[in-house]
Amino acid sequence: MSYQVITEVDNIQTSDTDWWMMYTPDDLETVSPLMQCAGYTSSPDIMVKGDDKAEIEQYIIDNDIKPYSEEAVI
Amino acid sequence: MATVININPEDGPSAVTKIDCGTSSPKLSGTIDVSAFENLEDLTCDGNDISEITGFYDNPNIKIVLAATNNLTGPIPDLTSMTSLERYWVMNNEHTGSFPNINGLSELGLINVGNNNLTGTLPADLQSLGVPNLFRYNVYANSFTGAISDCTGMTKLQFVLADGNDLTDFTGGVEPSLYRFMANGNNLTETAVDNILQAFVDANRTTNMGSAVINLGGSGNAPPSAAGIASRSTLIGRGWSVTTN
Repeated sequence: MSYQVITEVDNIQTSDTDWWMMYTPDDLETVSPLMQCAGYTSSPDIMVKGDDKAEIEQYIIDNDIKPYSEEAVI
Repeated sequence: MATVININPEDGPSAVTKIDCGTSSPKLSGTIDVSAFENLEDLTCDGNDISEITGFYDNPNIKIVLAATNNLTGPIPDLTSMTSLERYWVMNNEHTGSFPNINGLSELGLINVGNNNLTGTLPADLQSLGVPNLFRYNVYANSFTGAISDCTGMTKLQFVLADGNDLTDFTGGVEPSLYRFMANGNNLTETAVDNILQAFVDANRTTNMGSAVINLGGSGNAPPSAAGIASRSTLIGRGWSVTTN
């Protein structure tokens, strides 16, 4: 498995080559879409981080996480 | 060979208030002219290969334009004659030129011009544009330069997605309504990063923090100064998700 599910997101470092996303633990809403973005992140949400975009996309599907969509706005 | 589709409703074109192009295989391409439909309120034609849509930019009855993910090119026309406009989606096209004129569109709640080839600067401040109902301001993945718009006074604004541009500066403020601010992947200076973090501290949002996100990371943006790091810590303590370099 080449991704991590991080529930204590306290100054987690990501690089330009890491794929990551975040979702809320309660209602499984995607709050940060799957992206590559370097930095240090702290959050009360859950981060999924890894080097394989497809694996994280599969994780999103397998765990019924609500996908992020710009057009899903009423 | 091009096919021309004419719509001739039984009750006449003035009876048409909604056009939904749907999806087809092969996708629709070419030009769509909707000028005959003077009472058109909703134009939906996303996810096709349309290169031009004409005949609606001067229609005051239009409320919704969903034309994302096509092959639209050239500048985005002046939107101000669509005085009823509420939603305008043209992301994932090939538009060039500058941010469109949205002055005085008092009903406008959402504009998404993301992932085009737009250049130039963003409006200096949103409040002076007269768009008090704006709740999503999405300008990501273009080549905008200069400052991120001042969001002071925009009490309904919830989303600012400005990531993936060449933006460098920010002065001004934000309101507590704003809970999703993405400016990663720009060229923000240390001062700009500090100013953004301080603006959110000053806005003092403390409720409904479950999906409150500020992302100032990504290559190009400067890390915050010591003062910015203190602001960052304050925001994290309030429940924000924060990413910085």
